[in-house]
Amino acid sequence: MEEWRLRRGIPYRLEHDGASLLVGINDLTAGQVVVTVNVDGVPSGTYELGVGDTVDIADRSYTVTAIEAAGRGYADLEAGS
Amino acid sequence: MTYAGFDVDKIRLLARELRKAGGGAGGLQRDLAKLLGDAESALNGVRPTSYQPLLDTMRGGEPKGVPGLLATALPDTAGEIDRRCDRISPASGAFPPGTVVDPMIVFDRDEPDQGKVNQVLDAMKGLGGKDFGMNGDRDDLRALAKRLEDLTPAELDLFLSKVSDEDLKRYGRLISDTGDGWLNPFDHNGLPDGERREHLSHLLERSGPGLWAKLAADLPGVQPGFDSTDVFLDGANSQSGVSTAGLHYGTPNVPMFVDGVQADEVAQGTLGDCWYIASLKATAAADPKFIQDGIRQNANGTVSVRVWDKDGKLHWVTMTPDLPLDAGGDIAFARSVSGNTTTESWPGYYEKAFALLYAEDKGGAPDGKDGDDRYDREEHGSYGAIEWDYNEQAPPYVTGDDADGIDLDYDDVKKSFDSGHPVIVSSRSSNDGLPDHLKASYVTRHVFYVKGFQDGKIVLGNPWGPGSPDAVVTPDEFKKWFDDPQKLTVGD
Repeated sequence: MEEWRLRRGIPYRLEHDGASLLVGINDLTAGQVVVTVNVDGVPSGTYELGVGDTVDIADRSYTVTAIEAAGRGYADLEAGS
Repeated sequence: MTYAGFDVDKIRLLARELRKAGGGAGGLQRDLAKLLGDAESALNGVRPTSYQPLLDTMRGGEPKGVPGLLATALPDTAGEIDRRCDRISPASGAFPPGTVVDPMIVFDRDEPDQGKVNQVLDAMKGLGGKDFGMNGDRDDLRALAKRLEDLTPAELDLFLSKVSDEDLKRYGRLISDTGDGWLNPFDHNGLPDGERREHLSHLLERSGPGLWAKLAADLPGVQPGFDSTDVFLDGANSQSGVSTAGLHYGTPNVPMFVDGVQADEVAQGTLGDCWYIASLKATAAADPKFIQDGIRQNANGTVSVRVWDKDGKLHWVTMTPDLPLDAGGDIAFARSVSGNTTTESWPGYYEKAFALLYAEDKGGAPDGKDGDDRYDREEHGSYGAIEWDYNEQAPPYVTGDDADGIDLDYDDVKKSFDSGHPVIVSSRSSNDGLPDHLKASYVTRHVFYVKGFQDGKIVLGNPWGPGSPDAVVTPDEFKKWFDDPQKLTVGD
């Protein structure tokens, strides 16, 4: 199972189908993370997610497995098999 | 002193021609001596009516002038040329425009003085177990540092090729340890931060290619570590294409500059230093030449970046040309980006110089990992030191001047921006009630920079760089959703 830790304040860049994706956390509170996916510089979706919620990024489904809002903060995503 | 147009191939060709001419000088001397002898014989003992002392140098025996002396002088000169060409020839090819050649490298005519080098080697070995006295080791270390700096580049290379790792590491430990001794709180140890930085920069700028690795391995402070950064400690993020487990130092596969300083292209990497990148981008946008003038590639391949320290003292921080790369070989931290493709490395060198010099880390924002001091410990001289800090901390290191806080007011910000001041601003820690149009672009607990103004609104850029949308806010939204704007001053 692949895991992806998104950290607050860090941009994550991906290439998918010839497009440039940038994924970042917009906000993080106890139990909720707001994530935006930008495609070629244009927001394609902003998602408010809690633990157990899923989000599709670059044709893969990810489930939020942990949210840590304290301090610098992060959210852990797990890719569906 | 500025040098332009070094053509090493042509200079080497000149050396070959000199060597060839030197090879013919002995024969020419013999021919001229014979001609002179024949002419004197033809006089049948009659005294010449004129005397030319220069002709005496052409008689047989030990050469005393031209052309005989050229048989040794020209090959010697050719050897000097080749030696210097070896030092200024980058392994990766031609130097880009703006490369700086230390005159010392070009004008150190003499061969290395072995005796002088041996004395420095002995002095460095002698540090082992030495009693430095009640006043600490600073005076001894300063004396040795000066002797190292007095070596010519050729002597420094000889020294580095001979010094043991054990001796060099001991020296590195001693100059880095500025703490008090156990029994004496009034002693002075190590070299103070700025002085040590200047010393290390001096050694890096003068040492030959291939010897940096020894300096980086043995002397703390030459290479900023990244093993205390969150991204490294988190481990692999395979889905993002950035495998932090593979973070390593390497030479970037992109040039320092392609099209000059373009602020829009500067992209924060996987390091939590938006507070620094925002200042760098804002300054680059306001005065690209100021940023371009603050970085140079040296003839030996090292890179120097202009940074001011916490006391406002200017340093040219010299560093090895390698940067932290991800497992795929791409620059992991700051760089220029077009689309998702890394195009230039210069932001990475600015960031590296800042990591080496930043001295005000207090551990950054707490990360909820109490008891795990790998995360938010107070650091110095590492990338971990520049993760998470306050927006007013970075500007003095970028511009040389403290930033000035200004009112959270559209007119004040516009007036500052229009008069040439870069402006940075923090976002709030919560987005409760955020208008829909800002939901994709607004990032909490972040630092943005002012890019311009549009129809009575402020355009704020994200240090994440290309791919991240600008936040375009009304004056009221600016007041509500942002905090602590800082006006930077460039070039005063």
